[in-house]
Amino acid sequence: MSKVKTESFEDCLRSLEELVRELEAGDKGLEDSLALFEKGVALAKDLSRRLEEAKTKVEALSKDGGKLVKKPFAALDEE
Amino acid sequence: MERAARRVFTVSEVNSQVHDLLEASFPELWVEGEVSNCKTYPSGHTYLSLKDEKSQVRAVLFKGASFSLQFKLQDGLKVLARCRVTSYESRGELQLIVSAVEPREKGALQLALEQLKVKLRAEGLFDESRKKPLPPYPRAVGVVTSGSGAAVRDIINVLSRRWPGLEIRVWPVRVQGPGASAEIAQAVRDFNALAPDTEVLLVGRGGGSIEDLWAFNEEPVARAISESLIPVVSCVGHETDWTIADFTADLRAPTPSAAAELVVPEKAAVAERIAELEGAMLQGLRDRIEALERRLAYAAGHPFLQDPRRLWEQRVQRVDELAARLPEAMRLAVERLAMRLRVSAGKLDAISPLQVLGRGYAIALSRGKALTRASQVKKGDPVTVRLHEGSIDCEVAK
Repeated sequence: MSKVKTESFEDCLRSLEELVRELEAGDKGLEDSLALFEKGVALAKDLSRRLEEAKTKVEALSKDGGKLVKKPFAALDEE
Repeated sequence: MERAARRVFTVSEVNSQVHDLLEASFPELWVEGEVSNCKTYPSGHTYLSLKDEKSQVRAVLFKGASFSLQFKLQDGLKVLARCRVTSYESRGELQLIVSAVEPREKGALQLALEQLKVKLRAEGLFDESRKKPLPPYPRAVGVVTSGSGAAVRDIINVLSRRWPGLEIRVWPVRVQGPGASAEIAQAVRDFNALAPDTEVLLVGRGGGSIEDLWAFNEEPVARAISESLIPVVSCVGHETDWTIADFTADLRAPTPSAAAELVVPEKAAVAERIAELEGAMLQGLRDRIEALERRLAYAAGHPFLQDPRRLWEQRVQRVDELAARLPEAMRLAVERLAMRLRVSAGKLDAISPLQVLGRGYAIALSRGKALTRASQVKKGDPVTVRLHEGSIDCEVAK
């Protein structure tokens, strides 16, 4: 996960859904419709990319002097 | 002598001797009875009576002994109490000092569970209205369970398979034995305090005996779960195991794997949804363009717009047509005039003096003028008499 604060997957998906609704309403001019479409395609591409590139990260949390410690998780009974 | 023979005791001495006698005479024993007049003082000691149909006896459960009790003593409860028989010296009362209690009718654990359930339900901890919704697409999922065993592995496997890209945060805790409930509760609190961006927590363990699962029936866990700002999904043991944690959690999953399936969507389904939206978008745009095209086609389809020459052709034809119609129109106009003329002429005929001549009258003319009086002429003047047909030249005779 990149540190750059991007819009959440959920928000992106919601934007896409909203955009499809607008497009389907059919009350937009051609330029506006095209702009919506382009934006939507970019969103869909971004969402799909996020799905494809996503890597799961498993961490073990613990506390050290009241502070959070994160370590890569390894099941205690593995190996 | 009589006096010397008497042995006088103080009250305290009597009470003390009775006390010693009682303590020496009775081994530790189990007493069966019903709890009544039960009251716990701020000191932590509990005073009660044990009774049967015929009699009763006072008893005390000191604070230290009450810690090992899994349930709460309540009036009406039938119990087996392990006690010492003694007396309360300052009152001279027979008293049982209770060191352990077992419920008579059901297991201690079961009873404790029921009592806690009643208490927490009364406090509203199980209310549906308290339950928080789960995030539909979480990025960070917290797990409070044992760091070893099948449960944590199942959870990690299912989560990574269904929804890759997750940050799975495992807080390993002991899930059974003394102290387990405190550790579980603390981990839930720590997630809230130290990793509040965790969007949902899975709290649970794999299957085991009811005793193994017991930590999840204890009050600290129930409290920590109900106080958690992060939504909690409980997953304790198997399908059929219901613990207090399950009642206080925002959602209860029957097993750890099931919990993992509940908290994240499935990648394939989401990908399908995105594709569906893309399709809808494409269709939407296509519809939009088609609608615009239809409007354009309608406007452009007008013959004049399609071929402006037609407009000219139309005009030319119109001129031709008018030109062709002109002679005919002229003829008609002339005819109409001729007709009017004829009618007028007819009318003229009717009043013409020539018509009168036809009936035998004549007009006398002198020097081109019609004579109306005899004095207009003299003897010998020429007079022309105009008849219906022809005229006669005459001379005035007198």
